[in-house]
Amino acid sequence: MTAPTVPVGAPRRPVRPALLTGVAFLVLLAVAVIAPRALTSIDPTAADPLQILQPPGAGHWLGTDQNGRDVFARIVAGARPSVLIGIFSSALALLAGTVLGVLGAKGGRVGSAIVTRLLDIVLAVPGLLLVLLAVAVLGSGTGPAVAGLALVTTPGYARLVRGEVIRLRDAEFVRAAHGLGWTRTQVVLRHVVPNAMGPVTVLATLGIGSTIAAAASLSYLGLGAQEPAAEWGLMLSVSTAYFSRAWWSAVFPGIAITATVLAITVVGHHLQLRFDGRRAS
Amino acid sequence: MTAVRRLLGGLAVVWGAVTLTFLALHLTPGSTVDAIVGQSVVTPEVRAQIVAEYGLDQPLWIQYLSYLGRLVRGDLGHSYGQGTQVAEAIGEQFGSTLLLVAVGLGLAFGGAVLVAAATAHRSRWWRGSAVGAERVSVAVPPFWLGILLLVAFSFSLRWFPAIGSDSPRGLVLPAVALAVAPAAMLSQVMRHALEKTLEEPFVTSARARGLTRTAVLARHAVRHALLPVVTLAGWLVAAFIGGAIVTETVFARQGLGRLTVTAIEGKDFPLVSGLVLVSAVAYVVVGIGVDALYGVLDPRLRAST
Repeated sequence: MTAPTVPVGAPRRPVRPALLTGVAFLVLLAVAVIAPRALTSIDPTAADPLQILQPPGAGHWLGTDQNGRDVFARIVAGARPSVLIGIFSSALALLAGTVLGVLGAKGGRVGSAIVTRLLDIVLAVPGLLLVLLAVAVLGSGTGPAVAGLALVTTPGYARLVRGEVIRLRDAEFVRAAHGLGWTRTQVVLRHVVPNAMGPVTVLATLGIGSTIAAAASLSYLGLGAQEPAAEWGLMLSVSTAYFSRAWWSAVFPGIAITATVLAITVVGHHLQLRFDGRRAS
Repeated sequence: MTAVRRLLGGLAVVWGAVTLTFLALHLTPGSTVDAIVGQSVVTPEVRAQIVAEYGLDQPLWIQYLSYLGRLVRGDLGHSYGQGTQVAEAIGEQFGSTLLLVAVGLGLAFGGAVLVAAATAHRSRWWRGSAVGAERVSVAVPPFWLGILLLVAFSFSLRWFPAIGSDSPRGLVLPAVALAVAPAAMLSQVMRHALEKTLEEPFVTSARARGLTRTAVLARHAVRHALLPVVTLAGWLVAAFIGGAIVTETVFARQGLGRLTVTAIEGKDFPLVSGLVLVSAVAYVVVGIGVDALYGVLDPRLRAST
């Protein structure tokens, strides 16, 4: 008697071209951040007065800017500041949001009231305006940009963490830990916080994308990275003086920003769906 | 009762925003007089006058109380960068930004309703391409979209004036640049709501009575789809104020957004505080308006309050 021919193993996963493209782009981006020289050997700051505003061609794939610098090399070099600002401010916001969220859920009536009001106030000031306020206080540059962007994104994370912590209040394992004689602080730090972090970490991943775009806007306004740094928003800001003659210097850095945000969104949404699915099952 | 609580909550938020900017002013490194004067040059007499006016030789809490007192009387202070009263500087620019935001909002809502209605529950390909387009539109930074529109429609095709024009034609490109990202966000939410609504029994019964798909959408479904959109109002306010800041800069338009950038660059603190106050008030007013709108859109909520 022969065994029935049932396919063995996991069911075939559908091929997702968008997800694959997103992952591939993020890998490319990681290479640009870690080892920009692997993608281009041209120095992003090398000015060449004889090669000003050259259109895309063989020598310069994406053309040159107003100082004769290679646009492609500058986009590759610009990946590092943009991505690091996104990651750092999201990490900072995640940390602050977790602390505030736990305080809001476990800090008693007074703590909870203070935290919710504080979050309401920060939410009442439009994000970009708040970042600009931080820049006005701390001065322009990368540090204030990171601080301001973190300030803006913190309330979202804090609310989510607070909700999760409250949800976990009656979870079996939390009750069990209390029953075993753990102190409140121990239970919160060892059991509640690690279990509350899942959804907020996914949100923070998605947040990196919007933070990168916001940081670019800030540089565009002249309040973030400064010349001669290679940064996407700054490149666009400088290009506006020349874009009637050189569209390439106004187009390609924007594509880099859009593609980065899009790739993070697509991959982040996928993580979110998988995560929600796992929790539901 | 709830209305009173709403109002008090709103006032608390505005008060918080004002306190935040007051603290920011005093946390700024350097002397507070410098923060108030910004980068404009003033005589020692004016400095002495500022110290007296703001009570800078007094303890911080007295300064804070007198600051609140001046705000209550409608005195937002003097902008040394602009050389006018803050309220006056903001008042002059308010109309231009309001017009831009109103046209942008109209475009965003109109576009979102059309796209959502045209793609809800339609073929996979058609719906999928709309979702893809929306994802891209949300990812495009508004200032870059503005630059692209300028390159394409002002410099190449010459359909619209390039920059700084106050004519209605000059409003088209900035409004589009401002509207695209919020529109894409809105249409995602609206389609989701529409698709849920179209599965409701009352839609089936309306179709059974012989109404066309378009008639059902226009008369019944769109109203349902507007409800979840209304909850996004707070997000929309922030998106449009932030969007106005960059869009006005790209198109060199007059308005509160450009005024904000100028104020930040010049470290013009009285003006910055005034602008934060205005946007916090806008946020609160929209929030209260939206709560009222809920009742209009959904009669069930009217009965319960």
